[in-house]
Order: sequence, then structure tokens, then C-alpha cells
Amino acid sequence: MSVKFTLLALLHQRPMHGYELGKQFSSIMEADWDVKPGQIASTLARMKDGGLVDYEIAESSDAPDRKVYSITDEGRADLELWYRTPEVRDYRLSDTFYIKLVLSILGGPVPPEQVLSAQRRELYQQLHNVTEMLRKTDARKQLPWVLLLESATMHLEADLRWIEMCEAHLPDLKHYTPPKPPPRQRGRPRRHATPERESDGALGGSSEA
Amino acid sequence: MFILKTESLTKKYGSESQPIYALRDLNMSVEAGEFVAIMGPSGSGKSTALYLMGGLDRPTSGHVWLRDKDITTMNDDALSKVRRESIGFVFQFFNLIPVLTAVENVAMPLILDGVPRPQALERAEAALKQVDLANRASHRPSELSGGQQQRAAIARALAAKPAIILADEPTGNLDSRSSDEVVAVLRRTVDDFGQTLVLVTHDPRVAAHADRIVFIKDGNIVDENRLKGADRAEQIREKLGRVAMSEG
Ligand SMILES: Nc1ncnc2c1ncn2[C@@H]1O[C@H](COP(=O)(O)OP(=O)(O)O)[C@@H](O)[C@H]1O
Ligand SMILES: [Mg+2]
Repeated sequence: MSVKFTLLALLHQRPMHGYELGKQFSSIMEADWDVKPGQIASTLARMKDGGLVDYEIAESSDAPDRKVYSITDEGRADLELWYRTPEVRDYRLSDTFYIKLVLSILGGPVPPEQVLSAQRRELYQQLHNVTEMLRKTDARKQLPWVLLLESATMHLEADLRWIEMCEAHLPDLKHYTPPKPPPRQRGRPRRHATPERESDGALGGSSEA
Repeated sequence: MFILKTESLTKKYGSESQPIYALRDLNMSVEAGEFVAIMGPSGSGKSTALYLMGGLDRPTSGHVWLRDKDITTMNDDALSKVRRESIGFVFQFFNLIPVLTAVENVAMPLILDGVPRPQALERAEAALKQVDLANRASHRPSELSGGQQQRAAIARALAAKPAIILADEPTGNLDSRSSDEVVAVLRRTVDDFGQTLVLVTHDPRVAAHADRIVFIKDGNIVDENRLKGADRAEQIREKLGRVAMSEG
């Protein structure tokens, strides 16, 4: 979640002072995305140093002088680049629940059926919470929030579906034995017959001898 | 005459202080030879209803009548006998045994139930024919498409000649073409063989093939419909939207 780009996007609309930025910030983000006033101030200061924003002092007779921030050309370029760069989602190939499930299959005090069932209960609980929030939301007035909640619903449904899939495969999974690690090579390092394969070691993870 | 009927069927999860009702006083009845679809939002109790109807789970209160027998008061042995003889299940994931061929997979429950192997295989072949899969009898699951695997799973449910088939999202894991294939087969078992069928789905295109659609929400029926006309899928989609947004 980027405080920096949220602020740049707001300043792209018009110049604003810090307090106004804070208010706009929380009205756009209906989700309880916590941002402290201090965080906004420190981000603005850093962006000023980096030349992304500038400020003018607005003098006032009945209130203390305030800094009115505006976006610079450099800031605008940065913001545009951010919009054009796709967000990469983490595919959760190191899902902590998955690790728990696999370990429970290998044997332990709690059978995998119960591990799955506890997880399912939690997912349903979250699904209930999101459904309740959706029901209380007026789609005509709060469409962006509705879309975010729909996204949460869809992810939870996918997780529940996956739990069902694991359950269906449990009988097969129980016969699963993890592959034995290859015996450690001693002495002279082996020469690879196909050197170009060495470069994909990051994914293969088994190229270390 | 009904084949299956539920009476104030209720299932409660959670603690005494914070109970969650998966199902609350569900009353519904399924006629012989009827194809009923159950629809509703995620978590509304569709699977729970189906599992209770099939005796896979016990209700907190209420009854399930299979013809003249109340399966909720049966002991485990009697219930498991009823399940094997009278109820066919089809799930989203096909649960076929990878090392067995299609016909062996279909015959397996019969063999486990004591039917001699030759007869079991014969009945399995007939069931495969019913789902248009006779020519794939000796293929293993990995050699079948998703739609074909699900049809094999349907044949497995049909082989025992159950009084009713209960299918939970049987097309949930399939692309739309395979999904059409599977619904067509299910529809035909109803039309040609008088099979009684209850199917849970959230796909309006699948539900459009049913004789009757029951919409549930928060564990209870909120609407019920016999839809007519070519734009049924569209009508269902619209209804679903209204059901999801309505006050609980
Ligand atoms: N294993 C479980 N543990 C706790 N609650 C459950 C469990 N299974 C189902 N429930 C509850 O029952 C409700 C209905 O679940 P389910 O019948 O699976 O819904 P559907 O099939 O319509 O998506 C859920 O919203 C959840 O509250
Ligand atoms: Mg379900």
C-alpha cells in the first residue's frame, strides 16, 4: 500500500495542505487502512527532498501559516509510471496453511482432516464478515468499496474451493512420501552437461550439489 | 409422491454463545423424477443441505425422509446401508481412483458392496453407456478430459440405481463446454430413466436445465421457481442478484 502515490494522486487533482490531504486520504480509503498524520507529514517531507512535490507558505491572519503542497513535473512523471506498472500479486507458493497441511499429513498430533476443518471454519467466518459488510453497503453510493468487498468474497470462495479440493485428494495425499534429497556429492564439483540450465536454479531449487 | 423431504432441517455450528446456523428450519420436498436445482450465495447452506439430505452429516434438529423412512433417526449402520443403496453422490472434484480404469472406478462401490465382480462390471458398463462413455471404459482418469471424468463419476453414482442423486457443484471445476456436456447427461438421466436429481450450482446456465429452482439464503428458502422460456439463464441471474442483496 503506497502512501506516497496516494498523496501524489491527490495532489495531482489540486494543491492541498497537509490536513486536507489527511482528510481526503481517509475518505477515499474506506477500508480501515491506518495512516497516522505523522506518516503523511514525513512522506511529504521526503517527497519534497526528492523533488516530487513543492510547497508554498499560505499566510493567514486568523490561523497559523500552512504549507500548501503541489505536485512537480517530476512527481507527475513518477505517478504516471506507477499507474502504468502492473501490480504483481503474490501467488502464495509459500502459503503457511499449506505447509501446516503437508506437515500434518506426514504425521502428527492433529490429523489433516481436522487441520482442513479448522481452516474452513475460519474462512467461513471471514466470508460471513465480508458478506455482512456487503449487505450493509449501498452499491449506488459506495461502488468502489463494493468492488473491493466482492474481490475479498471471490478470494475467500477460491480458498474454500481449494480446501474442498485438498479434502477430495486426502486419501491420495496420505500415500505421498516426499522425494528423498539427492545424495550429497563429495569431492570435485560435478560438471554440468547443459550449462544453460544452471541459470534456472532459482526455481528448480535442486541444482545445488 | 415425494422421494425425499426435509422437515425443519437445522444445522448449527459454532459455540452455544455464538451459534452459526448453516441451515435453519429448511422444508423442501423432491418429487420422483424431478430435477431440482439449489442456488444461493456462497456460504448460504447449499452443501450443508445436500449433505444432510444424503445422510453424510447429522442435523442438529429436524428430519429427512427418504420415501417412508426417516434417515435422521437411523443408527450409523442402517444409515450407511441407505446411503450405499439409495443415494448417489456427485461432487465438484471427481474423486476417481487414478490407478483404476473408468469401468473399474464405476464398479468399485458395487464390488465393495458384495456384488460379484462380473455382474458389477456389467452394470458399470451399462452405467457408462448411460453417460455416453462406453467407448472410454478402459481409460484411466488421467486419460480422460474433465468432462469425461465427471461423467464417469456420474456413472459411478448411477450404477447402484439410487433413488436419488445429489450433486454438489458438479460443474464447478469444468470449463463451459465440459459443463454443458455434464448437464446434458444429467438432464437425460432424468428424462430417459426417470432419475430423481438434486443439484447445487451457482451457474445460472446449469440451473436453467432444472425443472425447479430453489433459492436459499442464510440457511433457508427465500424463493422457488419453475422457469419457462428461452431466457431462463438470464432470469435466474437476475433473481440471484436480488436474493444476494435482500435483507437476511
Ligand atoms: N466445517 C464447518 N465449520 C464451521 N462452519 C461451517 C462448516 N461448514 C459449513 N459451515 C457454516 O455453514 C454455512 C453454510 O455452508 P455451506 O453449506 O458449505 O454453504 P454453501 O455450500 O452454500 O456455500 C457456512 O456459511 C458456515 O457458516
Ligand atoms: Mg458448497
